[in-house]
Amino acid sequence: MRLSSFIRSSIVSWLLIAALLSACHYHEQNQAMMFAPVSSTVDIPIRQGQLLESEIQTASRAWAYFDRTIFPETGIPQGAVGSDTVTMWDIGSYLAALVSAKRIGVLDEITFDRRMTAVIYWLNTMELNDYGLPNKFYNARTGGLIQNDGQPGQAGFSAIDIGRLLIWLRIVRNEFITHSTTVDKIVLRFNFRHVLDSDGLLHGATAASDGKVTLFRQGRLGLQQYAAIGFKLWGFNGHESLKMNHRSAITILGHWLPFDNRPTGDPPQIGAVTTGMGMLAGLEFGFVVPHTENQTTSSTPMRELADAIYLVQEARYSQQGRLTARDPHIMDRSPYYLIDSLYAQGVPFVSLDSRGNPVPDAAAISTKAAYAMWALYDSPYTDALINALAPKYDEYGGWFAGIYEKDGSTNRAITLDCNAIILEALAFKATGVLYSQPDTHGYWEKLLESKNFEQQGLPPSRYQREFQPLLENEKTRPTP
Amino acid sequence: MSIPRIFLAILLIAAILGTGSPALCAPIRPAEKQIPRQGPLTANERQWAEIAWNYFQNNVNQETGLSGAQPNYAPFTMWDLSAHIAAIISAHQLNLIDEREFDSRIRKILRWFISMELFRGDLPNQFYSADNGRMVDWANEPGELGWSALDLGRLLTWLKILKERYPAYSELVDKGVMRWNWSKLLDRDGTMFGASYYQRDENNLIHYAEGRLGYEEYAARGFALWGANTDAASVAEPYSTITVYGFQVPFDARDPENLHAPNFVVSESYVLDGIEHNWDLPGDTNTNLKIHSDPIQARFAWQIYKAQEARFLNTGILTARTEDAVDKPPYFVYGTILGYGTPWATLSHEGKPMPELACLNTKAAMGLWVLFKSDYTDLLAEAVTALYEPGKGFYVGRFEETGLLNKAITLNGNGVILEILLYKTTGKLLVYSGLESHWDKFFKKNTLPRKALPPWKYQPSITIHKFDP
Repeated sequence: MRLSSFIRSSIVSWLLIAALLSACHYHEQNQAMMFAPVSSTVDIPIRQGQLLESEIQTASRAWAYFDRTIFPETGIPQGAVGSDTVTMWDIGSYLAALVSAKRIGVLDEITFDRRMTAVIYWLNTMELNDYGLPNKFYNARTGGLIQNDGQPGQAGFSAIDIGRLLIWLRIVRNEFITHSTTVDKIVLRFNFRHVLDSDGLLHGATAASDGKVTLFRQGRLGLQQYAAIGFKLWGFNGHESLKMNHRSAITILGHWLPFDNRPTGDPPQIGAVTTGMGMLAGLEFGFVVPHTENQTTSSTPMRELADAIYLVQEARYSQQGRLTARDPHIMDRSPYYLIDSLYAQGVPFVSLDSRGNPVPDAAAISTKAAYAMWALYDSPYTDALINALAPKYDEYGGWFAGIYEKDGSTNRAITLDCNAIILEALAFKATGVLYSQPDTHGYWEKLLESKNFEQQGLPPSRYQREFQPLLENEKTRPTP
Repeated sequence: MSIPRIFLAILLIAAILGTGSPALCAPIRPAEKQIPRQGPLTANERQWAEIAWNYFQNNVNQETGLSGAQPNYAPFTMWDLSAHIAAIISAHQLNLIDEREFDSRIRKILRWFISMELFRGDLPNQFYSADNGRMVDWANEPGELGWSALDLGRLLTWLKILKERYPAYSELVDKGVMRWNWSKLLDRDGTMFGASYYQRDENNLIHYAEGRLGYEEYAARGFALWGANTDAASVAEPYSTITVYGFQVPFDARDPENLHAPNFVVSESYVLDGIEHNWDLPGDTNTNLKIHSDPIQARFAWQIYKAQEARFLNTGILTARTEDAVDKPPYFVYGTILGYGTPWATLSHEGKPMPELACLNTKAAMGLWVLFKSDYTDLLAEAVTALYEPGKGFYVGRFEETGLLNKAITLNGNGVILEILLYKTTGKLLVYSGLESHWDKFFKKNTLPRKALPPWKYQPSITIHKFDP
């Protein structure tokens, strides 16, 4: 008995040493390391292991979206089949799709390199808006910046979208040494003085139809924290955004569910509880904010949020027999963009348009939400979701956005983001948490050690404390 | 129950290490000494060899057995021909081709070599066309230009390697070299001379001392292997150094005389000297890769490696610089460690700065990788591993500024990559058979006075008048 426990403990210590060594092995970048997210408050394991043949096929079908929609002239894919509009969120998703498809093995080295080279070149040469930031929308076909209505012009910027872009740029530069300087140069073009303030609160800008641009404090529970990680990875202080200050909770179907208690404001930011806002931080960071001192080994607020989002939806299935995977998504019919939620504006399982008006009978099982939960929660419920969605791919490439809850018909929109998140989920199963390479000091750090770009607010350690907070007004001030 | 919990804890530690604590993760350690990479090729490296060999599968003219310097560009130099011979030998040694294919490829080249047209009947012209083996200019138009001593020096090295490794071909090799007229090639001091028609005026042939520190010493080894005195060319002096990131980069201290002797410090000359000669003196049969009988060249090579490594450590920019082709005008640039005294200058042949064309160069990266085993060269190898076109060969490199590919594919680049991989498996490429060849036996009794052969007999009386208009 004593002997066996000795053996057991020695095995454990060897495993520990092995884990330490493997984490320190900088060069084995091709063998992505397996990292586990922080432990769950619920007793459901994450999905880990080699992909099944059917899962590799799922990945190939998702990747086919990017073969189908790419514009060779710009190197940028369509934001959705039939739509040339892309956001920085989409570009971040495209980088995620490239990296994930390469890790899964459905994308060969050469195609990966050529695609990555092209998108990095575009990001390094694209026109920025008057704020020195990526515009909210670009035309993938021409590469030019466009307004809300698709006409050439400016439309402000989104800190949330830029945050996701920054996350994936960081992953690319850490993992692929051949692209790291050019990725750093992309970020060195941006002017950070307007997109966040000295405390790390995020700001967006929106253009009205008369062209007038208004800055506003951007971000609601979930994506606010997620986007702030992106800024943090590049050396900015994001601590006020990382805090979950405006969190209240409600009990739905017997489960505690956190939600953002701020009013919608103007421009409208609906604090809807959706799946993606909780799951992305799990897939990409294991629910841990990178580079944070005193890492807790127990649960984190991000983990609790995701667990709650999962449990409420699982409960709807187990208690009512209704498959649920809610996420904002593109629709194949009016109003085309739907905020499909677990909870918003006081109502559970409500679907809203972008201005916050309820849209009846539009709720859908979202493919990307289902796959995100499938990766992070290995359970019969997520199996059931994926089974239901298994036939919902387009033979010309890509997965459909989902299935309408009302009549089981297919939401035939095919979007960049959906297919990227499917690839992320599969890569998570195969290789673990997606942000897995150690952060290295490269061109970005070395250049900013010796050079200041005061107008752009770089380096952040020197200038971020000068960044102006947004003047508060009635509409953006958070409720106490 | 306890094991899963502990296991989870381990995974957590791994996760934390992975997402933070850079201190615990090995940084890039600067190399402390020169350690060559030696050993059989890994599957990945074997794939590199196959990719590089693709060039020679696609671009060799079936009739002449010759290959242009780039796909769809028929002219080639004697430097390129050397790389072609190097590629064939390497492919054979690495078992990419069998005995018969090796024999057929080499014999085609040698058949041409012993009957090739010579510039004024004296020496190989600067360019030949792979289409028909005739003398041409750089535009593939028939014509004579002059000769390059540097190119001939490299060719002599590879002819020597060929005949020492494959004595069966030594007679043909010797006959070819005996056709050359050595009377205007090296003077009594051992300075190498090239020649060109001034502004293509056939009545105006100018002779000039060719080569500056680096290339000069490398090319001189080829002539010395065939019995010439290369004292003046082989000596490093006069040279100076410029300190780049704390490393003393040597450069030639002579004034730039003309455009035939541009003073650029690049990786290739030192890399080739390392893998072909192990920075050993000609005739040195030493095969120990830790001992170099020309320690000055070994030290220079080290400084040139360290300066590039230091640039990465200080700026984060992957650096492996050498001269090479570009896929846009001016089609050829010198990516330097030091160009006319400026660190990291990228210059056209005329010395015009072209910083936007600076490249991470594939062959230079691999050359540094094989000669200097280090964390940094691990990264270099990783960075260039996707820089090829399937079925065609390796690209020249990746532009530093834009990250775009420099899609030129060259004979020399792919040949050099093959010899780099051969070096990894067998060490120093020049090995001696100990046999006396036709050349040695013939010149024991005979002389060819009109060709100033053998060099050891006639060179002491040669004076070459420089002519600089």
